[in-house]
Amino acid sequence: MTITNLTTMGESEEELRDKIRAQLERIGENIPDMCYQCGKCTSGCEAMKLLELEPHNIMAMVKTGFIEELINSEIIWTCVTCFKCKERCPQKVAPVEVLFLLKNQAVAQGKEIPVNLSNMFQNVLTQGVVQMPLETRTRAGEGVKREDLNLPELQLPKDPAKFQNVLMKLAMEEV
Amino acid sequence: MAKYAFYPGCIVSTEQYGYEISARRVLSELGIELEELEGSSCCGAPLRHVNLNLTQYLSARNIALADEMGLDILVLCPNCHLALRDAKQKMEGKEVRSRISEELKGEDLTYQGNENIYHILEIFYDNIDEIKKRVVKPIELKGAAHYGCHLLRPSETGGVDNPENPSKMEEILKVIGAKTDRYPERLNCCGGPIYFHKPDAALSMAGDKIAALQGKFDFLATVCPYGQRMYDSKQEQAGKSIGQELGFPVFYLTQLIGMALGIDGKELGLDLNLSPIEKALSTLMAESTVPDPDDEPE
Repeated sequence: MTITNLTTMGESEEELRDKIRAQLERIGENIPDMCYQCGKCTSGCEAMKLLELEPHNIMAMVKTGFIEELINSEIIWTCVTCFKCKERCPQKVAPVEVLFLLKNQAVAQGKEIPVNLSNMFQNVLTQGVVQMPLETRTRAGEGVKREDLNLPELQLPKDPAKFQNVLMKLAMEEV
Repeated sequence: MAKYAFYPGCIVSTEQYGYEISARRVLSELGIELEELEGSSCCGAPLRHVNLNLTQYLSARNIALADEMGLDILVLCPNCHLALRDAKQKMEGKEVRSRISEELKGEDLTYQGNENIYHILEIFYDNIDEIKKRVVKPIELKGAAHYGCHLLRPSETGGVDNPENPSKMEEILKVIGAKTDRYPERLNCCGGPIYFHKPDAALSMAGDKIAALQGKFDFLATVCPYGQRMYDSKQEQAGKSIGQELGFPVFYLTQLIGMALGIDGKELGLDLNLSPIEKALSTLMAESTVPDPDDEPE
């Protein structure tokens, strides 16, 4: 799970870099140019030990404009979104938020994304929730449905057509 | 009497039923009234990876529904809690506000953002004296706490406690009679958010934490459906992924408070926990903790 190292022969994608910068400013986050590579994010990163995510490295690449390498890499999908990097950055840079934008960019470019995420997206779009109520089981192995437990009916959007229209429109728009 | 718009969130209401049942039961026991957040949808947190517009819209629409009811929102899931608070914060920005408000018209909704968003841990903490007064069966065991990342960080948005050294869960555990302690792995992530696309890594993360707790504590308490899913529902697989036999009781904090208040286990969904909670329960039953006045030595 390494980033394809094309940086030595790659060219900085300034347009994409500026786009990510503009998006960060719009959502009220500092741009990676503020990062001074102290590595505090990486030292506490929950995805570093097992999945080799190095947030400070990602910041350096975004800062330099090597965005395509990142968007094409599986590495951006390893972030567990624990938000420790954002909490601890002395420069108030938020690698987790930059990773969200890189993932959003990968989706916008039609790259392959983890199948569970595209399924969830489809489910929310069509039903309003990530999944319909599942049958779970008790410790004794008996199947249990939501209705067996006297819980009220699951809440869903009242007008699914209107709900879907808005979401479809927003999904097409740039962040 | 306090009253809230109840927002359990997708994972709780479609899978982690034990949390929803015990939360409803315990809140009603404490005299807190709930109304369903009618017409609500996913908070949008899982779609942050796909498109931030969708997250912002979905959270804003749920807040708008609470605006209509004129009630603060009570949330069970830390991930929903962060998404809603984040969206509310972003709606303070003019550009976001006008863009999202325009889209909300498509569902005939108006955003006001007058209502607060609370996680159930905040509600319990605010009612800690009331809980203390009502304890009839103290949980005389040693428990560890798992908060859930999104309940603590980013502290400027969603955080309900000190992001590096929280204490609210521990204080509640003490009030219901349990012993507790901090432990080095306390703030570690459960792996939940990447479980479906990186299952091995996620299960190892969950397994490592449980392995560290075994032998040092009697149980783990959670307030997060992702954490409970990993530590309880998937504990067996987590053990396999790290090559260790795991058998450690994991409860929702709501279930523990419920037991301490004397509520029957069935009403707290205890049969839905898949970890071997009998280990903890049998100790509790054996050391019957409410002294019967007739048994008092003369």
